[in-house]
Amino acid sequence: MLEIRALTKNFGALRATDGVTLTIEDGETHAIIGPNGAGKTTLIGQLAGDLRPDAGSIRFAGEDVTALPAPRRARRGLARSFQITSIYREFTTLQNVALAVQAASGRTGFWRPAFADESLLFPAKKILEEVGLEKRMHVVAANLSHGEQRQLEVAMALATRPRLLLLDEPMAGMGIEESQRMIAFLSTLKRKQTIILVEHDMDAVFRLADRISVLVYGRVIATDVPEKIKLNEEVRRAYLGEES
Amino acid sequence: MISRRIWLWIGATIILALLPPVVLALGQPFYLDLARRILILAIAAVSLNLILGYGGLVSFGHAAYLGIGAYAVGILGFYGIGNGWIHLLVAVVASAIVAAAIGAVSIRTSGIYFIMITLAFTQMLYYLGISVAEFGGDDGMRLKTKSQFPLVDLKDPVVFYYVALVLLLLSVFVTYRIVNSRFGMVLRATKSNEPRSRAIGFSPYPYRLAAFVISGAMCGLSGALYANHTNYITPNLMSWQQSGDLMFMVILGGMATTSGPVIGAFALLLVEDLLAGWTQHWQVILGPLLILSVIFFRRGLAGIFYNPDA
Repeated sequence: MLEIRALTKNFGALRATDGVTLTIEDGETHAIIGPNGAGKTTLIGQLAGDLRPDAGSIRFAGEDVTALPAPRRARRGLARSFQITSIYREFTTLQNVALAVQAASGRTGFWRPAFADESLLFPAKKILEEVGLEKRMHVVAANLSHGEQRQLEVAMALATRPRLLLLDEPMAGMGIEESQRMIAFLSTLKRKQTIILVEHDMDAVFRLADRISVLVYGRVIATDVPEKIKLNEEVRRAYLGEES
Repeated sequence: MISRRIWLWIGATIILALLPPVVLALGQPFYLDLARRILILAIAAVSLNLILGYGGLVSFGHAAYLGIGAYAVGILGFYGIGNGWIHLLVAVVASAIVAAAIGAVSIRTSGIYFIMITLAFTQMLYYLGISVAEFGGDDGMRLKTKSQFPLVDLKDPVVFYYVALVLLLLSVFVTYRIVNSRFGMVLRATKSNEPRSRAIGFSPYPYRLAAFVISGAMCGLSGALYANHTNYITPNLMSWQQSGDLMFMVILGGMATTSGPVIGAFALLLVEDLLAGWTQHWQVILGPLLILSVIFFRRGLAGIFYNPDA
């Protein structure tokens, strides 16, 4: 699905991504963990197309996408959610998702009103039901609770019907109950969706991930199944140890 | 059920439609002239609202298309072409082409650079107008003939007034349809949050460029009418003050609202006329008034009619 080869990105003297080589298999949920400043968000930025790598390549579904800008990657089926909530705040929840449906449809028009277009609204409502926001669909997004905005963030990425979903800390800032609900939702989603999950919540990572890659100082120091990662000495020293 | 906003529009249209017989009965034809001027410039403000209000593109050079539309009528008349349909067609197409060229360059920039580059292009056209002596240069040119249409005679001030009114209502309606279409949703969404639009697969550039061209074309129509209104065209129509006036109409009336630019055009030009009749230094009063209105009417004057329950 996604092949990352020797990806490198420098910010001045800082090497934020240092020769990352990683393969994401079709259908897996692949978590990327690492201490703060390990370069997780920089890596996601390069995968999504917002940052241009200095070296290395990214192949998505058999095609080299290293030089493609973000919108064109999105149209090829690579959707992302943002760590810091990024929604259309003055639009309703339903309009937010309908726009994502429209983006995936690739069709535009200058005359027919989009707010009455069932080919956009029907799929959007279905996605909102999936994430559990259907009762809030006519609420202006700015007035949603933080947790609901996080759900909307994921709903918009899903509404583009992606082949690969990049989730950048979907649980960021959520309460315990909200987190549990999001984890439950993602665990049903992961059965039908390839996911790259960047997350600080270790509970979530070990429950959801099929494989985990550990990023430290921009380098992948280990990639393995969760059970092995837990036991990996280098990982414990570099990362898990810090928490205890 | 007809909504409140539709009733407001119907009410405003009836008042505007009744204006000519009333002012003529009162023996005040000057006000017919003023109202027509406002209607025509309101079309320009409506067109600017599409990119400024809905698209977030702060074009500080929209008077360029006013000038192109006006000079299209003037120059065609100069060469003896009086057919109004050709006038309008050339005004609109020429404005669209110039908007496409200016937009193609300027939309690659953003923020203050966008403001400056749109201003710079319009200043170029302004100095072009000054330097072409054949079409009057600095002094401007007199319109040889008004645009000629079958059945409709623009020389009749009342008929011309109704033409301007109908075209204004048409531009409001067309803009309303555009901003609520799929295209318009992307334009507005991208103003709201560009990274999000890119992340779900919208490239902002073509949407913004298309809006810029539509807006320029509509403003060209306004310019063609304006030439017929004044019978006289000067490069001043493309001055930065004129661009600023159009921006003020939109901001004062309410950005990204349907009625805002129309209300703004009426408010600005009526107050301007009132103050100018009162004192020579009317701009000293107008300036603070504009600042106060921007501070106190956050949705612009159109916000007065805004119903949060609707």
